[in-house]
Amino acid sequence: MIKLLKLEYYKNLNYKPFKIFTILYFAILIALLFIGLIDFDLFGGTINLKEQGIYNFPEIWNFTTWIVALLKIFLGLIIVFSISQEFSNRMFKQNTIDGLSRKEFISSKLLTISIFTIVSTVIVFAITMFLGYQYSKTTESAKVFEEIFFIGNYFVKLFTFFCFLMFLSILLRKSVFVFLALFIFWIGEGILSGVEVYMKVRGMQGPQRNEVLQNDFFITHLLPLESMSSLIPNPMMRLNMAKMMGMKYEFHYPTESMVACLVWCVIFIIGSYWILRKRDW
Amino acid sequence: MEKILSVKNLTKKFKRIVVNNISFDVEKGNVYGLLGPNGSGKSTTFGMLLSTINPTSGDWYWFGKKGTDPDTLKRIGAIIEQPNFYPYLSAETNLKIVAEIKGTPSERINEVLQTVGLLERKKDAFKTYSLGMKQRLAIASAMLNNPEVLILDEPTNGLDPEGIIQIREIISNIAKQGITIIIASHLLDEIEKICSHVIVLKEGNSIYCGRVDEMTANNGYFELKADNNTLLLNALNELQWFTAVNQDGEILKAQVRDDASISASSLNQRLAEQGIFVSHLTKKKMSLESQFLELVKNTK
Repeated sequence: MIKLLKLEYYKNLNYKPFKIFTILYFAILIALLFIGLIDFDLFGGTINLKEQGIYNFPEIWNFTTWIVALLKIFLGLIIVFSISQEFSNRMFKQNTIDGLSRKEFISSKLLTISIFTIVSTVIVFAITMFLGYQYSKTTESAKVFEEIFFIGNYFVKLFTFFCFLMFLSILLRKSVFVFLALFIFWIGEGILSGVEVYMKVRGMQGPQRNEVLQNDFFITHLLPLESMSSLIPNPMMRLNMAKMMGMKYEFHYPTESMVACLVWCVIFIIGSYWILRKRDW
Repeated sequence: MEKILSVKNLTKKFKRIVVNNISFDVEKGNVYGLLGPNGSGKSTTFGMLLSTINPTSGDWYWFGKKGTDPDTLKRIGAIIEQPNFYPYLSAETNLKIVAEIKGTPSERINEVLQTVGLLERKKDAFKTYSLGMKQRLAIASAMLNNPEVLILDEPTNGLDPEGIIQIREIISNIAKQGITIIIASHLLDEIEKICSHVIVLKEGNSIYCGRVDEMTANNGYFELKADNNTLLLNALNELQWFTAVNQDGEILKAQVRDDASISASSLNQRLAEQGIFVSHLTKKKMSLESQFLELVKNTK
């Protein structure tokens, strides 16, 4: 464990993209969390997200984790660059010859991923707590901790996303291809879930249709990107503005998505290991 | 002799057969040359023995243990094809990574850098190094864990004459320490200068494995010159010791018969008895190159 940590430390410490994106990520992340304190000019009027209730317990957990999760691609870049350079510099081969096992290689990358995910989660947790106690209308502990599971979901969401990127990096070995594949995957999932929805609601009328959309089980929701995004639903419906417009916010804990994400993690990790084993280097 | 490596019926098929059923043994303390033209399967063989390529069939034993696991690799030092290091890291940090993987104390780093003459440049990024320096760093890295066996795949590829000499000196110093070396090259004079044993590959088949000097049943030849070459030529033909005597410009070349064993002095004595005094006489071994070519030709 210490050995793998040291390896990753030596490999990444002086790697420029690594340094740049890490600093950039954490700077933007912290800045973004304070976004509610700024007044926006939108549609002629001013919008202040704080006034819209994003810093109120318990909604704050939903808001902060959702906003910050948009930045995960920055950390993703680092992971993709640092893994694919192992292949483009033929260092995976060299490491293997020097006596690093495939398992150790995967573990060292998972270690980096875990550290990133943990640090990011802790920062989000600490800043959310701070903002909540500072600006929330209520700070009774029942409300504070009511939706704290979003922090757990955030952790799983990031971890799954990074495992996915690790898998793609090991599969494709070139960062450009990885991003291309990610994009294609994203479009592909969108098309598939569109097709499934269309098949289910074909020929149905208004209320019946809504009923199906709300309560039916969609297999495409279990696809990796879809299940990752369902872990933290878009909180815009929870803004005071939306409430005033009479929109109803219903939220069920996304158990299937959680299970799906964990299963995907296992698949990506085992898949990565399998590719490293089977391919000739 | 203790066997370091024993390869049995190793085969690798990509789209075509690249390594075909080869077997050989490597004994402790010898320097082996793995010979063969480009594309004869040298690098693929090394790849399999170093666990980066999955074999199609066949077995091998390192130090009597089947296959190649990470612990075995820690007893081996290897350089493959080209020096591989993190280009953005210094030599020192690169070697720290290798030391960490191999479980070697990092004090060795300065020692090996000293051996290959890169100690002053250890803080510089790998990408600023010349090809010769990169190759020397690769040797330093392979030597880091005091390996029992060293594998070198084309260690002098692309180097200038000075670089080649430096690498050759480093390798022969390593050989003097009693470390077993397996070195692949298509540069035959290179192998001839360093190796005691050879394994010859041809189109994926191993056609010879043994001592260099036993490679072909050939006793070498004499180069002679006298004031009267015609007289000399007749005398040599009468001796019945040679398979052929040819004139090559001023010099006569006499090919020694396989079953004959003659020293230069006994030949000189015999000629002197007949009143022929040579102005030039040397006994020569066939070069590895011609032996190799003969071997390859014979196995067509």
